[in-house]
Amino acid sequence: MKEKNRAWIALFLAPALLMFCLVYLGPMVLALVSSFTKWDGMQRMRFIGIENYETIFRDPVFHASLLHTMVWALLAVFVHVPFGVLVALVLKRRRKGWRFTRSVFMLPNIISRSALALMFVFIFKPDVGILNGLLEGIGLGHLARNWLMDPKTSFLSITNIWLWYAAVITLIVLAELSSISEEIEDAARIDGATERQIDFQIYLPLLRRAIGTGAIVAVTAVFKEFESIYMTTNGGPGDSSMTISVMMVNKIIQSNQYGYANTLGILLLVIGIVVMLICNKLFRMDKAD
Amino acid sequence: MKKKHVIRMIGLAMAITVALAGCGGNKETGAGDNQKVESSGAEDTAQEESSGEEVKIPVIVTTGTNDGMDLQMQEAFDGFNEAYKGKYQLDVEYMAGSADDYRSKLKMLNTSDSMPALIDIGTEPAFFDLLVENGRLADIAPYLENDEEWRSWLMPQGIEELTREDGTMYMVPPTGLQMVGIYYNKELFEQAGIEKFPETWDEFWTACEKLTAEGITPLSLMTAETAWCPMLGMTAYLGGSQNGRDFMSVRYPDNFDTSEFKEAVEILKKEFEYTTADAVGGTYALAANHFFSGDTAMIANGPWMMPSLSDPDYAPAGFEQKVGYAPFPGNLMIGSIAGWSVTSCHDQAVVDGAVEFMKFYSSPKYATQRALKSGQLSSVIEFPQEEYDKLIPAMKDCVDISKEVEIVLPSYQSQWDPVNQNDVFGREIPNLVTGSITTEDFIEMLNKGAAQYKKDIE
Repeated sequence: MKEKNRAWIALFLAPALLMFCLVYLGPMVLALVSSFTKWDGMQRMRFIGIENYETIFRDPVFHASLLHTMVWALLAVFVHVPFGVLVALVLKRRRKGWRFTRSVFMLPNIISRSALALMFVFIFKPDVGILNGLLEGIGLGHLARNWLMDPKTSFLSITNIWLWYAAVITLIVLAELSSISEEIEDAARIDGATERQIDFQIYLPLLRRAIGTGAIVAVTAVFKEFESIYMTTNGGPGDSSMTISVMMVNKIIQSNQYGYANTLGILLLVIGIVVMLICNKLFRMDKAD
Repeated sequence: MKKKHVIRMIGLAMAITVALAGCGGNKETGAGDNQKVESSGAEDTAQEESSGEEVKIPVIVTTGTNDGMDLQMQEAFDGFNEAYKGKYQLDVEYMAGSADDYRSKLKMLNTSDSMPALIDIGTEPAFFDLLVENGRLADIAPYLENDEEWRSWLMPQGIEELTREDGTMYMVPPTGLQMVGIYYNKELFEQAGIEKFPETWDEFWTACEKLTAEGITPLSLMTAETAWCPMLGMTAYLGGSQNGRDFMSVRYPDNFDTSEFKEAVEILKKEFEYTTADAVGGTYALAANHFFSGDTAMIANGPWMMPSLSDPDYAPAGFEQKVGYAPFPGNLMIGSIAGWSVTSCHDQAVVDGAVEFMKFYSSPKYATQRALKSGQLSSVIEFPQEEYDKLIPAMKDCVDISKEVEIVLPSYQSQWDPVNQNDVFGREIPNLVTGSITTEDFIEMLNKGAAQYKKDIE
């Protein structure tokens, strides 16, 4: 019987594994191999050892990109995810207007990131942008600026394009909340627990794995975030809003440096694995409640 | 247990990164390998039908930018498909976007060796060199050698410049040259008390001051892409001196640290004192929109923009009557010889058909159309004077000044390396003009960019 099960398991897994090998593993191996070569995507790859890695670690653009990518990862874990969890906990209470709030909160998620980025271009426009207009309207006109093209504000301005849209986290947490027995909350109420105590001392610990999953989803999303930067600043001015993914695409599209770009991809992969292991550890994903 | 998690993590991380890795297929192509029957992806339509049936020739052109040359091209497509019905059929894909978007698409298609049969590389020499080195372009020279009629329609300077040392030719020489100058709004000039377009740089800045004093923004500029409009002004200033012209004649200069170039950078910065608030970070479309809306008085661009002046989608009715076209101060214009190329990633019948189309496109009928509507003025084919009176004022100016222009400078896009054009201009000009970096910093970045490019192509 066990042997028969194994055969079925293998049969059902085969299509997914095959697709994984074709679509992910193949290019992955190619990326790894080409990271040790000089390759323009056309000519034969020329082996250059670890020269790409050495160049990247000396490249100030990479330093800036790495810093921005890591800042985004931290913001994802410590601002984006908590905000999404908070919204989920508020929605769970089903107070007046919760359906409207839920719909409004979900809305940006059905808009493509490119369209959202373009909307923010108009919000941040220096002459007719909503933000500068608002600042002038409330007497803070001296703060008005070209938000996306000022090196001091460009990165934070782009960050706003994704930071507060945590609907996916909210959905994950809401799904987990719905699976928690209401009896637990009832018992806590009988014991005199306040809503805040119920949220923070009962629900939050029970949501640990869902929050961990949300953190991994959020971190992986910011690692591959591309459109919001490409459509607004393309990493500039200077390197003030550059991230590894934008740097990688620019190296391919602008200068056909496939070997170099794939080295960046491999580094992003390694950083991704490390960050996910940290998340895994932080949220004790492998431990049962 | 932990090991399992690590594997799971690796799997997940791979999924993210591979999505970003952008690996193209590694198809090796030797130089001169132009007999391949290779077709994939977007170019499936290019399945060559060499069994005596109509041969389909895939082409991609941009739409939406109202570029006069693209409009002419589309007319020629229709004419060719009609004239060669049953033999050749141009299979045209229209893509929305700018010339930069078009070239990005070509680069992506190139990685899988699936470019269309006809491509317009424009003034991007590094990409052109890469394609030639890798045998991705068909040699036009044998076709031209055997076709005296076709040769007679093409600019001799173009034939000379595009013929390589070994006698090969990978870009079809144009029938004429489009020279870039400055469009100016005569109504706004009049309002500011400026009687004629400035002939010297001193007069130019005085005119800018007068316009500003009248509450009119003088220049339409932007910094996105390769900062086309402001860079035109800067390089035009550079071309005002012999040393500057010598500098502009060098392909891929590696030292930008010269006194002439420093002065030109100061001019670049000065241009931004007379522009709109959204110029820093703005795109060409935005800059053009300011000009068409009458928000600004001048924009530097080529005659391919002429059709937009009278297009209701772009400009208010009658706008074309208000606009003049002038050379840069110092009686200088900018123009580079460039043409279409035929790719070698299709079978011989498609290559032959694509070359046939290029001959059709070069014929006097279409060359004249291009001269009239896009200002591609030919030194070979007579300009039809009987049509002169029907031209819009800016096009009349274009025809007139092309006869009197003293200096024609090559475009920086055709001369300078792609690292600087793509990495430095778009991202560092905003810093330069807002004072976040100095002229010296900017020049150092350009030198580093040039060195980087040299290293990249080693």
